[in-house]
Amino acid sequence: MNKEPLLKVDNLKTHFNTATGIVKAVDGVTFSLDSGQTLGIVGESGCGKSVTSSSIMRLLPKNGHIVEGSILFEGKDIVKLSQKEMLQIRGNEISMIFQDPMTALDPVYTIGSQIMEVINAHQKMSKGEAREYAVKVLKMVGIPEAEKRLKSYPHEFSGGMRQRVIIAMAIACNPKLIIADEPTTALDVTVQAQVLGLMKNLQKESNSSIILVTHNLGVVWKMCDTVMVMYAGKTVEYADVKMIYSDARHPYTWGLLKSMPKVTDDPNIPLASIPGTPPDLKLTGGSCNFHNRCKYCQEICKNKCPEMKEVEPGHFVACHFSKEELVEMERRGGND
Amino acid sequence: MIKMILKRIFQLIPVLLITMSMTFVITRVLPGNPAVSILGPQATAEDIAKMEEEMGLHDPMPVQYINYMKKILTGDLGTSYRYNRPVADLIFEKLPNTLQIALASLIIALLIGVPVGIISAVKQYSVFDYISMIAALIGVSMPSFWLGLMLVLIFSVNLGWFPTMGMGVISNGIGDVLSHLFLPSLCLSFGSMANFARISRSSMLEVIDQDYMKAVRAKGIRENVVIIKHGLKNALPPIVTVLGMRIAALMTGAIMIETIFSWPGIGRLIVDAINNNDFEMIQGTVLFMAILYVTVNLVVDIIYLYINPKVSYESERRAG
Amino acid sequence: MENKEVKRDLSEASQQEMLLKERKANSAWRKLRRNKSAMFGLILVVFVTLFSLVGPFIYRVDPAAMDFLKVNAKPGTPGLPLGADNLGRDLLARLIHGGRVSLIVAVGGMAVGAVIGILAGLISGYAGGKVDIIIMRVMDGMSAFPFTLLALMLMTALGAGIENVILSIGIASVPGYARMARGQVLVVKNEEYIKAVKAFGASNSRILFKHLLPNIVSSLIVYATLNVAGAILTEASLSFLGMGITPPDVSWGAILKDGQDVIRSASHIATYSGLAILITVLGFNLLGDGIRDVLDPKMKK
Repeated sequence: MNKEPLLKVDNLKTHFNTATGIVKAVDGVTFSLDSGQTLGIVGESGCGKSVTSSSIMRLLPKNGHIVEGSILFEGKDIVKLSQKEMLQIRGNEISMIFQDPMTALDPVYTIGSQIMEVINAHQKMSKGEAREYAVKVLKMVGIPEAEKRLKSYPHEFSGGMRQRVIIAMAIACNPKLIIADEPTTALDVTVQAQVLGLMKNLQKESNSSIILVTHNLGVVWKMCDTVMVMYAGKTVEYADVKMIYSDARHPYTWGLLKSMPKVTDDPNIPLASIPGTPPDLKLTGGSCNFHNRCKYCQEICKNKCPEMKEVEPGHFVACHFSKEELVEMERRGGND
Repeated sequence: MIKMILKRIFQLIPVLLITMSMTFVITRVLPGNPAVSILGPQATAEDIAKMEEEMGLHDPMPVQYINYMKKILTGDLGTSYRYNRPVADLIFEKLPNTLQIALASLIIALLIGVPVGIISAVKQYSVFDYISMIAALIGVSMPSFWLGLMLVLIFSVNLGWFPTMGMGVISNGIGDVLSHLFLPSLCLSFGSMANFARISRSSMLEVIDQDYMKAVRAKGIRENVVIIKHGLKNALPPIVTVLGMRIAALMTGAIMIETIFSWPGIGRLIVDAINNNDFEMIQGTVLFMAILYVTVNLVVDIIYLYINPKVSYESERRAG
Repeated sequence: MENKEVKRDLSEASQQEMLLKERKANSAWRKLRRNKSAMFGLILVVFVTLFSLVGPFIYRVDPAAMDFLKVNAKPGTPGLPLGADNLGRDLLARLIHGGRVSLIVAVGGMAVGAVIGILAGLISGYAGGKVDIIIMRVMDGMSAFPFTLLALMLMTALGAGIENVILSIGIASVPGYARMARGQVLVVKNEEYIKAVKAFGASNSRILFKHLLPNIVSSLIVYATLNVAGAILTEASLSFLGMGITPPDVSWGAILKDGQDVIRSASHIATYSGLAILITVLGFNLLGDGIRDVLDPKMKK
């Protein structure tokens, strides 16, 4: 059955006006997401992952604007909605989980009042009903003594607990899409696993979709159905998670996969890393953004930006060369 | 929480003791002989000596000090030689008048200063922002009494809209009270208004950048509510701190404003006392002002604890 | 052998420290120049300083010369660019000479407060323990009095006169400097290089003056500039109440006081003296804010 995807992002471009020029933080991002599915957005720091999430929520700072592209959510283009209409969507149909649990909660209000705030914003309930519901949601995310904890302040919780509270706020109104922006980066490793497990369970019960922004490929493997790899503001590869791991086609994706430390690695061999640094986002657009770090770089890469091509059903890559061509180049000695 | 309040009150005591002692030391260095001031230039040497004895000026310093402290602690702030009445009585008689303009000024300053600062922060770099911050800078740079004179010149002398001096009486109607109150409290409020605008702006700017502001917006809350409910409450602590500081400025400002507008308050008492070399009056009123200031600051501290749950939580944890 | 190497390293380190400081100072100056409002403040301050210090030599009119034919003359009267006051004295001349006094008093007061206060703060913060508690209690006691009130009290104890005004404002400023200096010392005290210098046997006073003090200078400069602004206002207040600069001395506050009595007939006296105060204080405030922005953008208030 071919349903319409829940979210369809097409050639999204978000630029920032700064004192030193226009920063093209997101400069061509394309992907889609079905209901109940989890999409992972991977890439290094500064590649535009967070700006993509902020663009979907239309929560950009004053100097940021979506200059091109569309974000179709259930058929409606979010880019064209008014602020008033966005208020209906945020927290209600699309919600967000933030990276740093230590700073994402307002320190001067109890967590009870903060949870009820999102409930009251979108659902008509009496005060008593809202309170009961808040307790229910807290229990769902595994907060012990939920009833008592309604009156606690954020600083009385540990990092992991705070993140659970944030998740509770995000699921309170049964959103269709949850955007989790590096939700476990700031947490201890053991807590990370718990939080991710919690998210997976909640998703199974509600059948909501998740966009999981992360730079950790291990998390992607565990949690995601599809993956979009981003580099310097653009989508470079997008496919099912299995396809990415078994049949990745973009040199950057190869670099990422190679740089993942594995238990079976020889500890004496240094970790593989991709040499070079990302380009200045004010100057991109005239070439492949990855060309200065790509060992297969050819003349065309320096002069033309590659377009996204569907190399097999459901698998999109933005590179001038196919996998066969790249393998051939490698065999002939590459372009070091 | 109660423990912390009590702790604050307890810390107050040594400060107050030092304050009282300092007043003692400073006023003992006054030029002129208080006995002579009281008796007048016709007094004989004998009378002077007798008066000095009565006033305890012949006792050794430590004894004078102890007597002084005893009197203060029983609420006896001395006797004004000019009015021949206890200083404490005079103070409490005039205190409500000064409180009138002080409170009116504070309210005006808060009601105008804080919103202006917040709007300037939300609309940073706008025309409103530039104009209000320049106005605020001028506000903290000018002598309040000069502003008073200028306003009196324009509105009372030239336009005749407001009376130039004195306090209104309720028996003449609330209009009388307000028209007399307006100019003095407006002048007194200016410095505080400017200060509140500046601190509200900078505090709000810091808050606006915080992650939780974005998180609240992500919940689909209206921008007005975000700014007022979440932004303002988090921006309050520095504003409250400034509030405490402004009490001092209001007190000294009251002295100047009362002089210009012939307002019958404590400020006038102090000025008169100084001009008349009314030794005990000077001592008593200045000490009273200091104690008032310290007490008000204590109240402000306690309010601060209430609005900032994190601070009190952490202090409680440390206190065990 | 080791000792010589160590000494060489130390002198290299201190040389580098000096080079760094020079470079920091130069870049700070350049940043300050770019800050428009700070530059505007600097211009105001320089203008007022020149006005008061050089003015008497350019505009050679006796500020004390009374002319009863010209009482309350309006500005623009021939020979009286800003008019005359209630005793027929040239207002411009009085403003020039008054400015000299007001500035000297403000800067002098700041200096007195800074020297005593910073010293007290350094000692208090560095020594800690009982010394710290005693000094800070005294400072707390002094802070219980609003600034101008304390200065007023000191003036009534000391009597009139320029030196006493300087002293009163200075003493009233002490707690502010002491707290500032102490706070900074507490932060810097435990940093590595202080411990290192101590380990090499540097004496306490050497540590205080050669190492601690230079590090707290930047915030103290800001504080001192803003202190001068406040001192000008305080002197004006004191003189206005008759407890500051009294005849035959002249200051802007004293002129303002004269102006109050004749506000209806000769408003220019109060207007111009007040404007002089406003311009000067504004200049110092802008300058102080600008220096603060440049030296430590995190210190925004």
